[in-house]
Amino acid sequence: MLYLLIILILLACIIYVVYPFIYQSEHIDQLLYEKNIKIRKKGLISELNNELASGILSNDLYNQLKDDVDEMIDSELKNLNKNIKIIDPIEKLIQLKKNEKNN
Amino acid sequence: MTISSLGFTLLILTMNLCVYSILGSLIGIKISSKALLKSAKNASYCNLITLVFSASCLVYAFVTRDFSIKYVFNHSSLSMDPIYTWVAMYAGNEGSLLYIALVISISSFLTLFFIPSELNEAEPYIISILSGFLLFFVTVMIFLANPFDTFQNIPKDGRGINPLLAHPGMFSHPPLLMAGLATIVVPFSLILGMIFTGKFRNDGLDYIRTTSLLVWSILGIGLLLGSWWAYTILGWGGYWAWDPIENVGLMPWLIMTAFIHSIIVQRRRGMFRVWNVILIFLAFVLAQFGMFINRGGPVVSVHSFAASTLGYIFLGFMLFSALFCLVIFILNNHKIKSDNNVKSFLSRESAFLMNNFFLVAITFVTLWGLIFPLISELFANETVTVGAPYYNSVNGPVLLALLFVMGIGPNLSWRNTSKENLISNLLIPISLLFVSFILLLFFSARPIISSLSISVIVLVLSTILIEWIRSSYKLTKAGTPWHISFIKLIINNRKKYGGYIVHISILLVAIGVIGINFYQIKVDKVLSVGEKIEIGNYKIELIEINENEYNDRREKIATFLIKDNRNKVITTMNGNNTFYPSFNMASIRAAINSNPIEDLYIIPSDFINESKMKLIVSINPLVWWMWVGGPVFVLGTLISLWPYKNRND
Repeated sequence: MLYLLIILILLACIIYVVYPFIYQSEHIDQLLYEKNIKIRKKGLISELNNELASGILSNDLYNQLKDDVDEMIDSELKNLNKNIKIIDPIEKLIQLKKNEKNN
Repeated sequence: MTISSLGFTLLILTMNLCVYSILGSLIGIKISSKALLKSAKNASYCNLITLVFSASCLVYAFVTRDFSIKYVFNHSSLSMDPIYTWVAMYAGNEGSLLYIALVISISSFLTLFFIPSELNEAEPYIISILSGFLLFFVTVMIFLANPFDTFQNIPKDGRGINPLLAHPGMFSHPPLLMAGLATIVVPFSLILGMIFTGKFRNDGLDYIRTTSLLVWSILGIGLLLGSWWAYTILGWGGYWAWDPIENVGLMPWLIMTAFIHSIIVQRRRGMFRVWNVILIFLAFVLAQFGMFINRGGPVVSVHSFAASTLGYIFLGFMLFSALFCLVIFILNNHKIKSDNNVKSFLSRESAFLMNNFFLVAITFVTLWGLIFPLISELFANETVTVGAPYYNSVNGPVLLALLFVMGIGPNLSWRNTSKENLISNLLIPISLLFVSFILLLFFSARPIISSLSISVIVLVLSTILIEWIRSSYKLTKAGTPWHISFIKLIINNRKKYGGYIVHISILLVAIGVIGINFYQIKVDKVLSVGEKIEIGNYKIELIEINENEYNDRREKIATFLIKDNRNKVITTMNGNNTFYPSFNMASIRAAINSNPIEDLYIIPSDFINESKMKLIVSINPLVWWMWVGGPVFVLGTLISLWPYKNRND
């Protein structure tokens, strides 16, 4: 019984570890990445809005902090765009076609 | 195949999976193979399965009292209450290592399962760090501390569980503390992964903050439960003795406290990046230091249950971790510099910096107290003991300064605070601080530091309450009822107000600490059956002493009748002193009558004969609030951690 159990665990582990070599999926992570940066910006701005609404921040300070958030997130998005090689399947297809033509 | 060989085989399988996931991740990055990277991640997931089954084998062996396994023999017996089976699993070195490995595999699984897309590039590095850490523990178990090691001749009965561990607090205190120390590897690996990719900016900071908060709260609750346990079972007459084992749990918690504050500044203002890296590295190394001290380090502790001869293996691992962190930091320092600097001393950023400074200072004072006896013995050949007076006198004022910053900080704005804002925000809290201080100075006969401490608590509490009232009031102007406004306020800014609730829990703990340190009344007395003792408003009569003999222990129970000044019976209380011959150990349980004003605390320190005993009686004011701090701490952390429904993955 215990032998059977260890064989089953071993088999399950092997199948699970080998599986990615058999079935390969393509993820488009960069799009999510960009969306999440924008969501983070939205979160930070909404925190500032809450603080303004509850009187913790003055209008001047709110504007300054909002500008800071814009600057911070924009620089992150800039960096991200620099690093993106192929961001979506259509662009990937265009690239492939171009390569075919060149060949 | 026996249950012990199954458990051990699964450990070997885990070791192989760890090696595969480390190599797979690193080679996968090198050759840009997505399939290999995914396979390495899956191998890391498999560790959870193998370790769950391996730990189940040990639990099963305890349930069936399989004394062929040495570990089961050493930590259980036929007479052991079955309820303590779970406690017995981590009661010694080998089992606790298995428990820690299980915790690492669970936390690795959860970390990788919920990892956000911002951290995808860092994921292979994160996997290799988590698997590497797990590999260390599994390898130690396989080669040096096998929990499944067996006897050739099976004994009929075991030695039993360590008597100090047979306490309800043990179901949660050691596992939480061990889990807290072990899971510091999670935020450590996330930050290290980001550094390796050269992208430790603001990506994934919410995730890093969430995992850090979880780890920090687990460690915090573990420490608080440890205090409660020490207060009730050990009969030291206190909740905290600055014992080395307590200190090594406290130090990483303090650094993590600094980290979870400092990471807010990075998230909001893009600052303190280098400092955050230093803090998380420090927390990780201190956690390894804790493992070393716990497992046979050179410092003597009264409750080092997992002590072993493996201390120097853990010392080696700690030194390796420290060196590794140092090299990584030196090589990557230039990549992680912040974009902004603190613009004004009167800003929220600088308040966070002060908070961090005090927390780090307390950590190093504690660390110095812990290692000073070793240094003294090593270099001066002198045996020195560093006790509570050193810690209290040095850490006390720093803690007070920390509380003060906790009261001032929330009144400061990000970037810069104008004079008008500062005056309007601080006027009421500072006035309350002065009023309470002057009142206490006149009406309390205690040291000035106690009055100052209470006044600072008033400052912090008033800051929080005023902000709540002011902000809720602003929202009520839109026509929303008061109570709805308050709930809305918290829901809309859970991170901030959850944090404030955690601050309130810290204040509750501080109230208990002040009560016991400055307002305690204590009497040592020898009492015979029928005799009475008066302390405060209590009259305590020793009614009887009973002696019970069991297979594994001799128990002496003293029963006390408690009356008030007007001779009205309040309650009866029992305190016991139990001796366990097989462990040559006595366990004292204090008799405690607790209420929000004060605890009546009786320690049956020695039974002289059948009708005479020595006892220590004390009245500990306000300690009840310290234990209330626990649930409030959990509530605040949960509110702070509650996710917003706006993420895409």
